[in-house]
Amino acid sequence: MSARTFGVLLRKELREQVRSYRLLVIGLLFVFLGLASPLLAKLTPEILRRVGTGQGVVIEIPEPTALDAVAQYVKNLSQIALFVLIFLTMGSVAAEKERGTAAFVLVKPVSRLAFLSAKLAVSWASVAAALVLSSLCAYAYTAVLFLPLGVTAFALANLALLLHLLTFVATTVAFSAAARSQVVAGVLSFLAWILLASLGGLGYATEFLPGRLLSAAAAAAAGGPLPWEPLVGSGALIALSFVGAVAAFRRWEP
Amino acid sequence: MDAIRCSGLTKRYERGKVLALASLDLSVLEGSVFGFLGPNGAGKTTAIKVLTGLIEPSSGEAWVVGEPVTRSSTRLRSFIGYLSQGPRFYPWMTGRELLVFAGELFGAGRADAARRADELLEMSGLSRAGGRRIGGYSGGMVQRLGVAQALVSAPRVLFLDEPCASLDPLGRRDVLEFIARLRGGTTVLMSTHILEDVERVCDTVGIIDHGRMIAVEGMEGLVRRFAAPALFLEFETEEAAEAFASLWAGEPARAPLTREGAQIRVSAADLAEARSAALRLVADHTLPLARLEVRSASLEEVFVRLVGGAS
Repeated sequence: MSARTFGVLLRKELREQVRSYRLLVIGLLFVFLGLASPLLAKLTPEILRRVGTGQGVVIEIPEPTALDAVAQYVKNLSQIALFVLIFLTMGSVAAEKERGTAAFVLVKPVSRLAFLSAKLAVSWASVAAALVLSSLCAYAYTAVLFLPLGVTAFALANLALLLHLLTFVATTVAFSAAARSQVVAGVLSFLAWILLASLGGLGYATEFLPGRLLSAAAAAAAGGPLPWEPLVGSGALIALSFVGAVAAFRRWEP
Repeated sequence: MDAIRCSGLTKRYERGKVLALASLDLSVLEGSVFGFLGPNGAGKTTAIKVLTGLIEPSSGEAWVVGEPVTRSSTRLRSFIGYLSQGPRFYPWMTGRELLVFAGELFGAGRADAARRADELLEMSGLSRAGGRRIGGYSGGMVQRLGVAQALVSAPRVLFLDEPCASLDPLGRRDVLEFIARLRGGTTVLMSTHILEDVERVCDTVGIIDHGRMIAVEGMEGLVRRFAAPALFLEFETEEAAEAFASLWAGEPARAPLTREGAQIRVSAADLAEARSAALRLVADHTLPLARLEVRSASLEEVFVRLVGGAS
């Protein structure tokens, strides 16, 4: 895979993200969630209290803290944002196969590995950039509504969250490369997400699941260390997804 | 030297149930324009996809400019240009951006790729549309752009799958003239089912049907071998043509005749003799003849004879 060709493909992918407004949608969504999460954490007890009062029930909820804001932030990004990310990524390769544009590129001196790598790299980069924006918003607004969080602790929490998002973006790209249509790729990606999120009862092996990164993120925000197991598990899942994607895509015939 | 060579190329689909290519053997001389002719579904597109390394053959081997054809060979793909059937490009790119992108994929620097893109836009008559998004192009404009992108690297071998599809008569003329100009420098393999296009630009013709190559020969040789010139008569009325046909059938050892309305076509080995006999019949029975001419054999006759016979 030549670095020059890879660079050309990267630029094309990035331009496509911009022209198709995908980058804008992801950026706006992440920024919105970054701002809305601390606000929602702050207002939730008050909302519940008012709902309870209206029904003659007294609900006692402790005063929210900055850690509740982080928990809300992690929850929103790992659910709403991930849902949208899968939706926007499921056609990354499959749509090009369906439309015939993949064949247009692959009949030129471009390896399938370079084609896939560029797709994944730009998808990852846009998620990472959006998360940086989102985290800055969340950090600032949490400081305004609550107290400033420890910078390192919040950065570690975001690192865990980022790895979680990248893992599922990688599995979605893999399904997109392997599936015949983007609908099939999307269904498989959502199923994989639900399956991995609901897996349990595997003993120690459960610690390696990417879902553990979310509890690890919340714990890291409170000053705890990041456990190595979900980092390794997610890394392995990414590697497996990529190897599988390349193998499937090499067999694909336009 | 052969620019394209393949031996025993076979492609099966659907777990071997569908045979798209059946042991195809082919040699295409360097610098020639080869017309790949066949009815729809004959295997032309499959053969081109195998030869460009897009799909893997089930068996057999192929070489393009001496390079073995494999799906992983980026070296092979640096020598070739390819226009797919019904090409599709990124609708969000402009025509110019697409050509620059294609040029850069072949390793050209940005400035060189931009210069080449402008040349090709000019050549394909898309200079004014070059800055517009491809999503707004007509079918003919996309086809012209497709031909332009296939030429972006000045390829040694050019594979064109139905290059004149969706083009208006002027566009078709331009593309065919351009293909003809490539002769001698670039080897062109073009598939089509438009016989007139093949007659206009191709040196050699390969006729494929049901995945099998049923004839490969130079244009003139093919026509000479598989189709004879014919005598063509047009009468003023259908009745006169019918009367002529009956009289002709009654004559001993007459050449075969076909009638379509007031027109009659006689295929004869000895055309001079057939013409004399036909004129004698017309004169003896005072049939109202409007026109008589000897028509040279066409590729269409060869095609109908070979493909019609095979199917």
